[in-house]
Amino acid sequence: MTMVCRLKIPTNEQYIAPVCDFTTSWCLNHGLSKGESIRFTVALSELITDIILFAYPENSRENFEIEYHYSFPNLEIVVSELGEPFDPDKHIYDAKKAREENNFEGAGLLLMKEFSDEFSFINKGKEGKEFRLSKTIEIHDIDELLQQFATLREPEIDREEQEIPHKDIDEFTVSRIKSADAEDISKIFYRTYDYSYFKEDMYLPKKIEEAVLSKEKLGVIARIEDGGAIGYFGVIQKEDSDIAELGEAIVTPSYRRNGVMTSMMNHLIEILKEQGVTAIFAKAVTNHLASQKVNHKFGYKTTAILLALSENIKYKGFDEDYPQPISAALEFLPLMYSRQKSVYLPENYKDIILETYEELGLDVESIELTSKHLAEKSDIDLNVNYTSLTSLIVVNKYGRDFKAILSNMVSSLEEKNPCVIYLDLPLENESTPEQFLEAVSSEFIYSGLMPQFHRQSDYLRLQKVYSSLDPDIIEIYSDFGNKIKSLVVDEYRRHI
Amino acid sequence: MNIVDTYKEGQILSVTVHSHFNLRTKKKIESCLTPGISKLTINLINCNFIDSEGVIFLHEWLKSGNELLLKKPPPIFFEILEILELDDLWDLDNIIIN
Repeated sequence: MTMVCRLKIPTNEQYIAPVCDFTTSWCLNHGLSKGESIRFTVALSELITDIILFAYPENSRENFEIEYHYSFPNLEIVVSELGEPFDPDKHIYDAKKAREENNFEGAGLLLMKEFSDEFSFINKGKEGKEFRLSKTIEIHDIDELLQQFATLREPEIDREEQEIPHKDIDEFTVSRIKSADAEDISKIFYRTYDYSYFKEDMYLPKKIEEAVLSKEKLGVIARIEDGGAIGYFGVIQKEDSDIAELGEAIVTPSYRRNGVMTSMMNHLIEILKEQGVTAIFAKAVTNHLASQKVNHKFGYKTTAILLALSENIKYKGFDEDYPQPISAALEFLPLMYSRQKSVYLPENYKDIILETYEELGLDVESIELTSKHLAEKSDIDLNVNYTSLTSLIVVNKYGRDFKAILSNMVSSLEEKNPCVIYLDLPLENESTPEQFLEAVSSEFIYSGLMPQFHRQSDYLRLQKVYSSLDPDIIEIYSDFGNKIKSLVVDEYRRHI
Repeated sequence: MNIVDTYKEGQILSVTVHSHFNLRTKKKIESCLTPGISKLTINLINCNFIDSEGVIFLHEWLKSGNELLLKKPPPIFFEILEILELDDLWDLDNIIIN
């Protein structure tokens, strides 16, 4: 999720209305209907009213924070506060008590749940409490819109054209995308996948235009001599580090085998270097090998296996009967090489992590020293993906409360029946070898190395998998990737 | 702009809510409820937003045996009544005026 903004709000009731006005506008601007925007705003109004009344009774001089996150088609509001302890299970609304005794305890909590698609409460111990409200933008009418888009604006598309096996081209140009290219990018996806591509926003030129204008999306487009668009290669810059994720790489089928992809990749790498991007990574699906083969051709190395990363998505032309959530291979391509780093590696995974660094050509020094000195409070971030039912816990700093916070977070997330919880531990933090044992005792298993993943620092990714998986049908292309897979699968089998 | 405008006449307090009916609005109305007032007329024509603080306040007012008239409450008002399972306790035909 991309954080759009963060508000610091005094615990004073006069701020409820302005926050609600902002929230309604924010929802409307991101495509939520008017009715749903008001419902979602009421959910937030209930939450901040409860915080003002019950978390900080008699105190209007404290503050709490509201973060607004957006990732199409999901909107998420995260409210954090350090007020009095709270247990939502002890505040269940009872309509009988309300009707007969005027006891409305839990009414606000009930409305928060009713007016959001997801409501989560996370007790972070001394770090306070976190409430997450999320809403999904209804896309049931998108198929209809897309059909209109196809028939009204793209009459020249002939389905038979896709049957033409190959078109040789002498010349094509590659240039950095501009917002005006948005419609052409959508057309490339349509011509290649019909409407089977899993990211709906690639069929919505307005969404692409916004992403390009906001610099969230960076990419190149390939065109033939008459200006027709034949290829697109896009990346999304990571919010908390100078690396970029491979978003989409596509060449219209009839123009493949003309060097278009290679040319786009080379052009894009030059642009990324100019922008100070130090590496590209991709999460390649493992229900087929096509994406991994292409990535490895360009020099990507597999560094981690992310089990059950996304729901089963049907791609045109690929295995449509894949029976489990799709796992991914994390593939990494350094664009710039920095000076040697010192890393603190847990003994269990020292060899495989050092081998991964070697594969990548990154120079590290493994330090044996570990520290037991911890800060008073941990600093931990949490990202929840409500669509794929996955969560990512990122440890920025260990505190003496690390074990309790990790345990509380995992328990809270487990109430939502997750597919998997990922946990990122900082390898450049000397407490990691010691604190790693807390994660292992919570049944996290190996996933792999996530180089430069947060704040330009390297992280060890662990995972706790709740989905039932058949590891034999997880396909990994490279030899080294298969080495990581066998470690992951061994540990997965020991934990089921 | 005030969050509410109020006007007292005998036992009737007339209120116009501007924009939101929430905790703050509720407290403002409560502060105007002097002894002897037994009927509340609330104009919600400009109110697009009410939360449980507003709805519960109105429910308690009614349960205390007082009179209530609401002009054009927003659709969310009816949804909240239904979710809290209070809707059947309200004589909406006689409370809502257009």
